[in-house]
Amino acid sequence: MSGRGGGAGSDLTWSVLREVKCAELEEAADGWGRVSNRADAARDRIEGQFLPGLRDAQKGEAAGAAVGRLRRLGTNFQYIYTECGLLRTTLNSLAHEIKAQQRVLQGALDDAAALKFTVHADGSVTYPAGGEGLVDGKPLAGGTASGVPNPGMVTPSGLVAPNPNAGKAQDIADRVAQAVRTAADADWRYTRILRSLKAEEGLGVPAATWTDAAADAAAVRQAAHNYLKDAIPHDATPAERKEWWAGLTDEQREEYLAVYPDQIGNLDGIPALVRDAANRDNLQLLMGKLEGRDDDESATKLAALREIDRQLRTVPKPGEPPMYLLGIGDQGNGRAIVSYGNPDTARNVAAYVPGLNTSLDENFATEDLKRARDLSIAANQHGEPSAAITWLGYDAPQSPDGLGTLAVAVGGRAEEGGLAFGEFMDGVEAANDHEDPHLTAIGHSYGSRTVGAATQQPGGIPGVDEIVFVGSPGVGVDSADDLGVGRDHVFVGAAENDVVTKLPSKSKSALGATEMLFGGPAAGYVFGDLVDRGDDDVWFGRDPASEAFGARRFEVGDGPTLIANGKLNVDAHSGYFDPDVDRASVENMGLIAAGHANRIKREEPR
Amino acid sequence: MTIVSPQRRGSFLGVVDRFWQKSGYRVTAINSHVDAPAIFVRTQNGFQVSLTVADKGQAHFTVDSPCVRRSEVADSTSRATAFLDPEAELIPRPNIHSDFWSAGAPSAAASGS
Repeated sequence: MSGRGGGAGSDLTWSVLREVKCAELEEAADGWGRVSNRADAARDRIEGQFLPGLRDAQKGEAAGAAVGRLRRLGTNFQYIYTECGLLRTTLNSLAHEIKAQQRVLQGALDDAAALKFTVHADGSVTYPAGGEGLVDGKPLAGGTASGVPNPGMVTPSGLVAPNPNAGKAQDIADRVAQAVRTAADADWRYTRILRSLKAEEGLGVPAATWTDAAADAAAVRQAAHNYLKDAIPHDATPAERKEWWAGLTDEQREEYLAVYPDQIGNLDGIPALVRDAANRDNLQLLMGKLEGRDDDESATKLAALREIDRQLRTVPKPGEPPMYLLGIGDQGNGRAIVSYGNPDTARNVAAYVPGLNTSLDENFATEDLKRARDLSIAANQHGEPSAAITWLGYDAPQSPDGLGTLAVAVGGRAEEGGLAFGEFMDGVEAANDHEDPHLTAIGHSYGSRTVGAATQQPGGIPGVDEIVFVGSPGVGVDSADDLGVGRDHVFVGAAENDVVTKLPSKSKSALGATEMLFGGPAAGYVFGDLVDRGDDDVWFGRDPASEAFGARRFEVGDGPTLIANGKLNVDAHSGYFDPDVDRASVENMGLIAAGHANRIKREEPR
Repeated sequence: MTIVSPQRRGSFLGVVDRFWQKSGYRVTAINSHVDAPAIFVRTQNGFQVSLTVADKGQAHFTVDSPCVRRSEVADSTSRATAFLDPEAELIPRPNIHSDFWSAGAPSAAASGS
């Protein structure tokens, strides 16, 4: 044939392509899939049974060494699970592509047979005499057409004799050549991927191996694009996605989990247990990816991921809520969504949106996650089963450096975050087992502005029954009636000494336009208040703790005063979730989340 | 966990409240809701102590220390007075009858103190 087959100068012929047994490739894929599943089950057993059992029952050096060995074994199984899962999909995807080309080839061969053309071993096609000569009216002589893999590239001369068979033969030859060329290309690509799916020698699974696994996953994803990804229903509603997942076979689910843990893990609407499993796998790949980099941002995110990984491996004691990783990612400032308690089986689910300067760093992984954990414990004391979530599903604004960025960029972040948060809550409701789960949205600081933005989407925040704002600089609307849940279901915690809840409105005081954090807002407040005394407008609209806003204000501690020991102190802004600082506030939020808002300790509005 | 009947909750919190006040603890908040009464106090050295009555009358007694360096916290060495399933995700609700504290409450299956 005239068309060279494949980027690697392959000697693939059409007769070889026709005989390729794709079923064997798929059987091999199934075999790798079984190995992958067994490794996954073995890891579950080690981490779920052996390790906790050993820790509870044994103490001392020998036990410590055994735990270390078992951990390594668990990591080995995790790695086997990931790599074998990738092998499986690579083979399935190869079979998928080869089968498509076999169909093209078979179509061409069938056409040739119907026309009684002969297809030669080299792909050229011989056709018989046919048609009528322009001069003598005799049939035009037959001939042989050679296929080209890219027919559009060869322009016809215009002087070719119009034997009607010639065109048909050329078409058949071209299709044969294309099928062979495309199949050879696929063969070449997949050969490279399969060769790269290899482990280091030895039992250790060092960071470099995970970096390598992350690259493997990326390569397989790219190759398997047509085979798997197009079917992930990104544009569907969470309810439709839940249905899509429910309709897949076990084999299909396993492949999605192995190849796209990043996408399945963050897909709102599918079950929490599935998201958790996908994200735990993706967490290993993300850590591998970031370990391969040496910039500060990667190091910051890596520290957070390692801390989350550490917490995920900790076995909860009685009375401690189990942890579910509902989202993880390294895009933007980083993403992490963690639930304490299973949000699908819980009757009550609360989600907390953190605020200004929150990003995926170690402080987030310890402090912000602890907020949801403490809230979950409190809510479960007041009404079970309850789950509480820390939702970092958007880029919260970072230390704005002046009025311009604060006024413009910051509003946009809340709008983007509000959209994503609304979809997330829609997913929580869709995936929940209860007919009408009791959902609470909690916004802290700038997060309250984000929750406020989410309420302004058509239909409000899907499924949400209660809205709580703490340490709020305003929520973007002027009345509790405008949030879509009724003013009796809007709750506000504002510590007496929390300056952020008293930030003067930007229109009223130019001094408020200095930086919003620490020295900035504090100074802005101190001076701004002189200009604007008694006004109930704050940075993003009316103070939600004010009488005019119309929400129910609940009791929180006053917090330390702004200036303590001659130093500026803004701790009053961050005490709402910390039981060791303000247990009354945590208890009140726990009561609201548990559906007992009527039992909270109220405080008079400002 | 001992059942404290709604009729006895007032005296239960009262006893604790008097002791705390006598010990010099400062009351930071009180919730007087009949279904979720709670007292929150602070000790002179910054410990936050609270007694809350939660779901189905389960009482929770909590102590939070002021800021300290992060460290491993050892498990309690005293044995729980009632059986706690090591697999339990949640603190169980009250199920132990006391002739005094449970007076007036529907009697539970188990009895004892």
